[in-house]
Amino acid sequence: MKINITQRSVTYKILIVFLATLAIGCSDDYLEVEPEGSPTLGSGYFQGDNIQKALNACYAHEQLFSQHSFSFAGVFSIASDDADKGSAAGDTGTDKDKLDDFTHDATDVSVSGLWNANYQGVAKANTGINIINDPVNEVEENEREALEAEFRFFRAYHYWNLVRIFGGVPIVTEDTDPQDNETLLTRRTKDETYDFIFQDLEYAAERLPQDAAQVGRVTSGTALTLLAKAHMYQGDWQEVLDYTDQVIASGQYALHPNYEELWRIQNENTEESIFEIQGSASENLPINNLATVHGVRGQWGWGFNVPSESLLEAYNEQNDSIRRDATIIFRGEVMYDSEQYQNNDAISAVVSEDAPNPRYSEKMYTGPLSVDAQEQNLILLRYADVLLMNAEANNELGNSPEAINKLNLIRDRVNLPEIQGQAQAQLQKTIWKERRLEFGMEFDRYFDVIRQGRGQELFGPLGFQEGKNEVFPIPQDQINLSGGLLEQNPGY
Amino acid sequence: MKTKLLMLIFLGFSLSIGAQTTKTITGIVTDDTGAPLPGVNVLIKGTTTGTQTDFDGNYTLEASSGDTLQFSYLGFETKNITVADQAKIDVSMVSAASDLDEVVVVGYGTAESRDLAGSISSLDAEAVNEAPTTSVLQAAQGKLSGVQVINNGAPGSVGQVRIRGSISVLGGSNPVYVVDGAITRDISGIDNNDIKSMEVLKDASSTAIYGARGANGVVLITTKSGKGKMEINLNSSTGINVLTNDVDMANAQQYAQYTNEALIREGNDPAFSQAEIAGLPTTNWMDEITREGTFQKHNLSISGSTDDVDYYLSAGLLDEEGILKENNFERLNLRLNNTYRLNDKIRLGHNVGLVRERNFQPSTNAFGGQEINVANSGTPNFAAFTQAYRQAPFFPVRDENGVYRTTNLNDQPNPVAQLENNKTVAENVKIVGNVWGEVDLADWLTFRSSLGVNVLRQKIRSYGQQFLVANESSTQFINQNQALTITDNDSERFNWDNTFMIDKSFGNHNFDLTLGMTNERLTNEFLTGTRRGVPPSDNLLYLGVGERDGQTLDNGGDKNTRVAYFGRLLYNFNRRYVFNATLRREGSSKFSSEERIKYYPSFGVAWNIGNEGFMENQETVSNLKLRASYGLVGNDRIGSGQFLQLIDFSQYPFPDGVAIGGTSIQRYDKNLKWETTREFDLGIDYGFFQGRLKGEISYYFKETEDILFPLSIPQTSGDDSFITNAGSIENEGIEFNVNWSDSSESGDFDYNIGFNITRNRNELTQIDPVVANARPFIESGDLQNGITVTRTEEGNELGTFWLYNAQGTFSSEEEIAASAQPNASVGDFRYEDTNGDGIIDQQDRQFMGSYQPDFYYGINVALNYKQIDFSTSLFGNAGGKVYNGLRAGRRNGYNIDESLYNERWTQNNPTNSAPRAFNFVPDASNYYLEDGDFLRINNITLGYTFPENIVDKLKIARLRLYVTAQNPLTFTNYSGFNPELPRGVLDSGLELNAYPTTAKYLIGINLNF
Repeated sequence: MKINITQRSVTYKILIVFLATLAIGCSDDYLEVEPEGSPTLGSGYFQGDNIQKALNACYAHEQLFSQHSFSFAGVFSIASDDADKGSAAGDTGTDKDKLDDFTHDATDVSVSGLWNANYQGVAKANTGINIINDPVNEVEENEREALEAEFRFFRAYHYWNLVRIFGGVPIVTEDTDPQDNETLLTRRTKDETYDFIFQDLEYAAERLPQDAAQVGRVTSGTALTLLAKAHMYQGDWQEVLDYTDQVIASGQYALHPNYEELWRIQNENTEESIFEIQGSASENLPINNLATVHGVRGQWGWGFNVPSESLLEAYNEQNDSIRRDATIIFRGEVMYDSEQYQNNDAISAVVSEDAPNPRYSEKMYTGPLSVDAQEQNLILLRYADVLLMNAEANNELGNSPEAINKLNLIRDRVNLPEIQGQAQAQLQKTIWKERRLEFGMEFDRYFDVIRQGRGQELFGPLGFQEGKNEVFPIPQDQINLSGGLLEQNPGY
Repeated sequence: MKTKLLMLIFLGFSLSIGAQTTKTITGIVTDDTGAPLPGVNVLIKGTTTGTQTDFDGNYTLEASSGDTLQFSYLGFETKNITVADQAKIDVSMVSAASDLDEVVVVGYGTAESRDLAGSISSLDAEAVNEAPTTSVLQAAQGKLSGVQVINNGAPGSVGQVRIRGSISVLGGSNPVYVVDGAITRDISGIDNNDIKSMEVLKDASSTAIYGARGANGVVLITTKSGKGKMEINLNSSTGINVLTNDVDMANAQQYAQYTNEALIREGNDPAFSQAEIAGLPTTNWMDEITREGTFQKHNLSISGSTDDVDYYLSAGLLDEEGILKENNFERLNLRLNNTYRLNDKIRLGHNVGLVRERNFQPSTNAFGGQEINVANSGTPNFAAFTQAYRQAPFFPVRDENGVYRTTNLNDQPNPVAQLENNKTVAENVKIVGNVWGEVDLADWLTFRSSLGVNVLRQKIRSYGQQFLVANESSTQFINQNQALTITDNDSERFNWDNTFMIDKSFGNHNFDLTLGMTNERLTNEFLTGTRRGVPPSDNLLYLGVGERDGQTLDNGGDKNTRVAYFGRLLYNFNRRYVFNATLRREGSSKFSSEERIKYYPSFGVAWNIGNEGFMENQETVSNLKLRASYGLVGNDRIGSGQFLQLIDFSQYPFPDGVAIGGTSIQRYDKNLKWETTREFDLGIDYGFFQGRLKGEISYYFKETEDILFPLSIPQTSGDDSFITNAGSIENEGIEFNVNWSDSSESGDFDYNIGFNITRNRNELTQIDPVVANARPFIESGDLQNGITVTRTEEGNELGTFWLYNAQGTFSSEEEIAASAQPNASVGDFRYEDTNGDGIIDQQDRQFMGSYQPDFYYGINVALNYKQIDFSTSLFGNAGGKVYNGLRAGRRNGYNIDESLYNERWTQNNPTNSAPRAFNFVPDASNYYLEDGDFLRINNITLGYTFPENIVDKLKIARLRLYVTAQNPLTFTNYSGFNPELPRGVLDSGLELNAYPTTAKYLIGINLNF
């Protein structure tokens, strides 16, 4: 069978096809390919309701492993006298052993990871501010300020972490040119950094709503509380008093009646919660491995950041059994939810008698199932802190009776005897002690002790060196690439 | 399934039963003395199809009157004979001074190799048709100079190929594959039996026509087509996979003793009492996770031609069990390669391969997560072998209650439990092929249009079945979530090539000109979802069965395009003076509009001295060609949209519902451009004694500029680095190969011995100052314990090991006090304080060589004596280093190999060779760095072909039985499982999660009708 068509017509057809091909291919327009599935930043994607997504990205950042998980536990807790590394002898958690005994240096990843993560948080806030200011996204003016307030809250929160960990740091704003290495690498003083934080938080406190549009969102109360706490670290007691008074007067918050149950799943986002990072098991959106880092080793997790002997003794000295038992898991402890698993041979909410460590962190316990761990929320600011800051400010400003009133609100809840008529200096010590017991294993201790100026006194036996360990080292690789601009902290 | 297969085969038959207006031509080809010539190429001129003469010089071919038969053979002048009425054409070949007139496949066409100035390696694919490998690449190891193949024994794996060194840090160093004109990155679905030839284009004059794809070399694979009388071939083999090179691990007593010593030195209580130690049972975990796996491979093909149609239909089956339990690979492949002659000017055709694969891979993540290992996508990761190496040997796989055991002494899972309960199955459907049309517009001008298609439909099903694990203190469920993840990956690549081929001579001036354009589109998309609470029943592994809580869903895609115009001129004067030139104008959507167009030129010259008049009156030299070429090639293997600021999405679980986040803090280089390689190539092709001794020597120098390298930026900007063009890499090398073949006068005996060796020198020669000032290196080679072992930095090979120099161990407290390690104990490693500052820190690490070998070589021998054939091939690698990551990654409670136990420092054995028992993570030192040299017998095959008087009675054309041993012996001093380690450019040579060396023993049959 031969196909019987004239050669000529076929030839012409093929030539035409070829020329058509050239015409299509010739145009380099074929190379203009819009990126699949990812809009570009300047494309107007954030118009309308999408503007909220830039903000949601700041919230989502707080769940990152690098931000609020393993390194966070290392620097904010293991380094302090409240906690030890935990885990097993040979499992260092990369450098958690070095944080525990103050041998960490500028190359250790826990510290450098927090530098990176917090500046990413700053960058997301800055990008958000640029997004709302970019005309292409058509944000209405009345909407713009409230959005900017929320971005600036997050920026301040990350700078507050940075200034506590590293001291004064480079201040990058929405206007900073990403190529401007001078700004990106020149450290500002600690006071300048705090001033920047105060500006952002004041802006946020004025413009954020008092009632959150959504549970879990930050409010003016969140900004005011952080403002008070940042001022406390600077010793600005009048501001601490004013801002905490405002929070108290707002009537938005109260102490949850049951201290022990505050960290249980049914008590997420209570009346006491002021700034709380969400984790969700049902949505598979955990604060990345936070609960796993802390879970009893061999049963529920890796078992890092365990309560120290010293913390246990502090509770026992005061006969503070409620807060002790809410903070510390002991070997052989029958967890509160163990009844659920009574008839289950394999799953048990009873801590092994042979657990590698004698104590684990109970505030990070959500249940014996691995899926439970994903539900873990992280309370970063709560009303008890407002009351204790208010007490401390009152005391510092000479109003001891009011200080004692506030202090006793905290003690009443956990059935401890009320404090009566202490003098200012003694009361200061009492409030500090109260802070330790109230916020045990809540990632507050290390920098609380530093701002009290008691680093040498309390951490000295652990290896703390005065004049050095008040702050952590700037990451060495960042210093290396800075061409001499970025300066290391003394002693590192 | 079987019925369908049969139907397809019959469909193939019916296609071939057309009008038989061609006729069968037979004949015998002899040399000028009258001796029969085996292996002569007989080709119908103007086509790429033909046959070869058999051992007695006989050939059979279907041809039509008017066809011109072209007889070509190395060392003889090519002869053209036009078919008239005769049915038998006997040919006597005349020895030629020049013999390099073999036809080779080049980019977008074919050419006679004597007309080329470039460097091309051709693999005689017949020799590897029956190789028991997934892909032809593995079988090509040691056979081609300049082509480094790094194999691994995992079922379904393909070899990793480096052609003339690694030219890129981040842009990928794998070559591009062109199968019958279809561009692909994956040739694992192509049955060795279906391959006619494989050409590797190595130098710029050969690869520049592939422009931005060319810099890593180009592998051209041509599949078989039918010609002549109908032929049915069956090639079938079956056998076993066996683990070789096992490592002797410490037994329970040794482990317990070592563990106690390590605990005591840290001030802890010993874990085992002396009384207890003696009674401990030993579990050999490697034995528990491995097996003798079965292997079978079958291929049935029907081929032939009629007046109008050439047809080739084949069906293949590969079914392999790995040495790792639960690790299987199945492949079914069909191929239909047909050519249709519409008239004597117009031809249409297709080469279509349809493949279905199932790859069963145990996912063995230590935390029972979703570690997806799919062949063909990245470094194979077999954590099971690492876990078996590390897990303590003093307890059984299961306790008396049947519950899997682990220990509190270490963090390793039970490897058997992982294998039995974490399962990943990848099911792939692949189409690789092309559809083409060709028209002769004049006797010197042909137009061809070809649409290449490469489609992958992949479904990966990954499931973690719940199981109980008990250690000393507690029992817990692993995989409580019972999560099922299903991932669909769809990928399609089309390339449409249109070419004009002009072939014209003016007197002694011969021109072969190819002009064309191509456009290409790659799209891919993934869809993945997870649900928990899926019951462990094979028929219920669907997301619909699972729970809504905790479900995840994601979907995304990618698209990129290319447009290119190209031209190639092959000119020669009187077959003596050769000039080649190519130019390709390439455009790629992966770059911004300012950077996306680039020109790639190349030039080559050659002198066929053997064809000169003054060479006529001698018989020693049969071929001598000098050649040189220079050109530019590129590499654009980066992701799409790297020059754009793209929005990243995230999710946050507000109590009233999940909110989507979107922002972008990535910095990027909007001027990102191609990596460009300049390559110079110089070579001599030689042949002596009528081509009995032949080979080639090549020298090359490649300089790659604008290499992609990360620029570290201050993290205060929100990002820590972005990819930019910032440096140069050099590769320089020499390739040598020689081949001797001869036969006895009687023709009863012939043999062939080949040897090839390649030396490559690789160096990252320069990094731009802006990048170098920020961070002039990339660290890689993660031991998964916070330690990395390689550093790629200016002045060194890519992926150079960067380590502390361990100078034995401390023998006394005085020695420690005088050293830079005051906190060390006696028996600990003593590291060299390179800079003498009295502190051991990163500054003291040194560059200590890389995995890249100084040279690699192959030896290939084939003998035929009457009915018996024997062949063997060896492959060797020398001068490279291997890091024993299994040993080096040890920390508390992991097992150790027996030699480390026996040699360890103790009070009673104050040796200087191995350290005292310890539980901490050891520093990255050269103690764990070993010579990666090895020599392996890749293949030994012994075959017997039944004599004609027997096969005639059986009414078959040919019957051969053979036995093969694949990788039976590896000679190496390396202490781990396998010194052959395919990984990325930056971390190659690190043995961690690697597949051990695997040997195959098989029997097979070839049957032709």
